[in-house]
Amino acid sequence: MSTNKNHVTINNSQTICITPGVSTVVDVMIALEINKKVAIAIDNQIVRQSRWPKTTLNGGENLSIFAAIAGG
Amino acid sequence: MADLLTDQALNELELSDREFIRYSRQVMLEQWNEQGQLTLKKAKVVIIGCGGLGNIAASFLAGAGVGQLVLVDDDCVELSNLPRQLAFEEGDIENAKALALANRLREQNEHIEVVAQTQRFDADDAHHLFNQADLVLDCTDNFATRYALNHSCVAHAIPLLSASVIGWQGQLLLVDPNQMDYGCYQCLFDSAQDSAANCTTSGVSGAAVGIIASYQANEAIRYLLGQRSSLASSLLLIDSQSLQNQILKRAYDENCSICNAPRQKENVNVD
Repeated sequence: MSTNKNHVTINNSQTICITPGVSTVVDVMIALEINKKVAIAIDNQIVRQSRWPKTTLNGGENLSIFAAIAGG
Repeated sequence: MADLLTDQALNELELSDREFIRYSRQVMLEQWNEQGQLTLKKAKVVIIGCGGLGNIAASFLAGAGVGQLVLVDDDCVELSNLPRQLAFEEGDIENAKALALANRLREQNEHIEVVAQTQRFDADDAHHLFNQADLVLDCTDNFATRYALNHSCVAHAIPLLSASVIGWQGQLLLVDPNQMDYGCYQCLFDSAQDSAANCTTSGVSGAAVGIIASYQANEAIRYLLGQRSSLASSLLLIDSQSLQNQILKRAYDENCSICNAPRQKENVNVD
């Protein structure tokens, strides 16, 4: 079994490799090829968009990535 | 729009015997009780959007005895609305949603007052619309109105309970002027959201709308009763397919042009 320290989990399903202490939220977005507007939470704490470039991942985190919905 | 009740009339309100019997099952709840019922009777809630969410949330608030409901919507009822907009009947098709819903709520509860506005939410009218309002429900179906409503509620310091739904999923949060450390709608989703997805283009489960509107109504009642809402500090994601809900903690965005501007002004004044 691979160690969690080299991975983060996306929406409780997909996992992707990261470099602990180096990879940022923006790196994950690029790796996932997400270019639409989304919000992101790390371990259930939403990270404001302005902090994505400086928020580094240690490995083992669960990232929730979701878009706003407007229907009523 | 005429003002609904004067301050004096509000202070003189009490529950009639008929009302007490009507509300007896909810008054039995420790967190609700007779005083809480009176609080609901004195409350004014503005509901923006009378579609799926507004239909069901308004019906629960009317049933619970919220004394004054203001309904705002410029749409008319269509045949494709009926699976999820349960207050409407086939005979309501082509009628204004706000008027049709207001009529249904008046039939539902003789003890409440309902005002219908058959126009789209207009920020320029917010001061009048929000006058003496205790809470605003966002039940709209587009981002433009959601952002405008968020801006107006922050500017007028009126709590906003925002719900949205698409497909099988929903989102719910409370923007509470007394807890702005957790930010507003725009802190969470900046104003450049992709706007293509809505119920018309992506589809929606009527029962999912019911679940999310029920959460919204329940939280509205709890808020009016003075109970602490965890949604003031968080966002609830609801997935009616997997039956998994997720609560995510929020924080204000220091770059938010809506709720951070007053914060900066306060800091300048303090300095």
